[in-house]
Amino acid sequence: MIRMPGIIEVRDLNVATDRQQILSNVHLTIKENAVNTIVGPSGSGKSTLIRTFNRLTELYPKLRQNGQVLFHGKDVRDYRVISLRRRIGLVFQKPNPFPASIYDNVAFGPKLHMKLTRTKLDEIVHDSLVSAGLYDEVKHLLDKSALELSGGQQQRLCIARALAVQPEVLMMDEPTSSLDPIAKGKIEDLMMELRNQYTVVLVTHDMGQANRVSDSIDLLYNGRIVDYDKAEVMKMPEFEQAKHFVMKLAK
Amino acid sequence: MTEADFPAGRDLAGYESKYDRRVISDMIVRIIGYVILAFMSGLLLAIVGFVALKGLGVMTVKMLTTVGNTQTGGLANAIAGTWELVLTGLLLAVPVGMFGALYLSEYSSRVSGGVLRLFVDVLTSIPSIVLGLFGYLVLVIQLGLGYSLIAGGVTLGVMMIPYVLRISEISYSNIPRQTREAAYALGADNFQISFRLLIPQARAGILTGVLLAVSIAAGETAQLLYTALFNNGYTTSFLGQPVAYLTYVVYYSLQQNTVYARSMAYSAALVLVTSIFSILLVSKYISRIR
Repeated sequence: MIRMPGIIEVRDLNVATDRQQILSNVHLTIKENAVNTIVGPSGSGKSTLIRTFNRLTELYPKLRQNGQVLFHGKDVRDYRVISLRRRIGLVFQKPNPFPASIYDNVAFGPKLHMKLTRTKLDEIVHDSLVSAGLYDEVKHLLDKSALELSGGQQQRLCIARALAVQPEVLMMDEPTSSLDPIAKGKIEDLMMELRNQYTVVLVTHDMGQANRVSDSIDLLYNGRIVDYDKAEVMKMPEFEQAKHFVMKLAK
Repeated sequence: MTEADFPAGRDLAGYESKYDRRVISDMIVRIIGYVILAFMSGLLLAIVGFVALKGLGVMTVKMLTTVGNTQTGGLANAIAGTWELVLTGLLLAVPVGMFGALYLSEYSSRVSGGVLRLFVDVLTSIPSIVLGLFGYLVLVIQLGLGYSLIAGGVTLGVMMIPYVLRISEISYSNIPRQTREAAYALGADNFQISFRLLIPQARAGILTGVLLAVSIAAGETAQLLYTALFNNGYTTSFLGQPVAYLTYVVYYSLQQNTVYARSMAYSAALVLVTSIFSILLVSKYISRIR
C-alpha cells in the first residue's frame, strides 16, 4: 500500500456557483494527529473548503465541484455519506446545540449509527463530555436544556457532540469567533489536547489563534491557497491584502 | 459660549413642531386601534353573551347526559358524534398534513412545492357545502359507504388538511438551518433528520395546527349534512350508522315550534362555543410555552 502523505488530500479542487468561483485549483494536505489550520479573510472560501471534506456542500445544490478530495487515499464521493460524516466531524462557527437536554445532544449522534444500551450510551456521553472539558461543569445538569448553557459551554457541548460518534478528523469552522476571551482560551487548550487522539482541522481568521495552536498553517485567499513562503507571490497586486495575514504568520 | 456655538438651535424648534404633528398622528392611529378593538370585543361578547344567556337558562344535566332526536331528549349522542367525526377526520388530516408539510418544507423543489401549495390553498377556499356534495356523491354513493362516520369524518378531514399542513409547515421552517446542518454533519440521513429532529422539534406547532383544525371542524355543518345525516342514538361503528352532531341540532331544532326543541338548540350552541373556546385557549397556551 502506498502511504498517503496526509489523512486528507485535496487535489486541484474547484468549487463554483453559476455566478462566482469560490475555490480555484486548491491543493492541500491535512496531516494526521496535528492541528491543521486554514487562515484567510472572511469570504475567502475557508468554510466551503472544509465542507467539501465531509460532503456537506451537497446540501447546497447550486455548488458545482470538480477536482478531488481524498480521505485515506479514497475519493470522499466513494464513501457512504453517512459514514464519511461520522468519521469527519464538524463544529460550526456559531454554537448550534439542539434545543434538547445536554444528554440528548451528545447522545444524538451515537444513536444515529447504532443501537446502544443505556449503560453504553451513558458511558459515551460521559467520555465525550470529559474529552470536551465540559463534564465537571454539567455533570449535575445533564437533563437541563442545552440552551441554558453559556456560549462557550454550548460550543464545548457541540465539540462533545461531534466527538461522541468517534470521528477520526474533527473540523472546526471559526469555533471561537462568537466567544469571549476566556471561553476562547479554553477551546484553544482543548484543540491542542485533541490532536493527540484526533486530526484537527481549524478554520480561523484570528491570526493570533492560528499561531498559538497550529502545527501547520495554510493561507486561503480569494479561493486560492497562497504559498506565503514564496516572496514573489506576495508581489502580485491581487494579494495586496493577504500581506497583512502573512506578516503575522511570519512571526 | 455664544449662540453661534449652537447653530442648530433654530432647527431644533422646527423639529419640535414636526414632532407635535407626529404626536397627533400617533394619537389618531391609536384611537382607531382602540375603536376597532372595542368593536371586535363587543361583537365577541355579544355573541358569547347571547349564547350563554340563552343556553345557561335551559341547560340541565339531563340535557347533557341523555340521547335525543332534536325534538325531545338530550344532546349526549350529538356531543359524542361531533367528537367521533372530528377524531375520524384527524385520522386523515394529521398524517397527510404533517408529512405533506415535511415534504413542502424539506424536500420539495420550487415547482412541486409551488403546485402543492396552490392545491392546498385552493382546498381552503372550496365552500364547505361543495365539499359536502363531493363527499355525498363520491363517498356515500359511489363508494357505497352510506351515511356513516367514515363518510362524514373523511369529508371533515379533507377540510382540516390545509390547517394542519400550513401551520406545521411554518413550524418546520422555523427550525434554524444550522440545527439541520449539525445533524447532517453527524451523519444523519433524511429519514433520521425528519423523525428524530424535525418532527420532535415542531411538535408544539403541529399540535397548534391540529387544535385549530379541530376547533374549526367541530363547528362545521355543511360537509356533514349529506354525509353523516343524523342519528337519534349513539354511533358505535365506522360504517352502517349515520352520526349525530351538535351543529345539526343548532340548525334544525331552532326551526321547531316547541320551546323544548329550541332550548336544545341553545344548549347545543353553548356546548359548541364552550368547547371550541377551551380548545383555542389550550392551543394558545401550547404555542406560548414553545
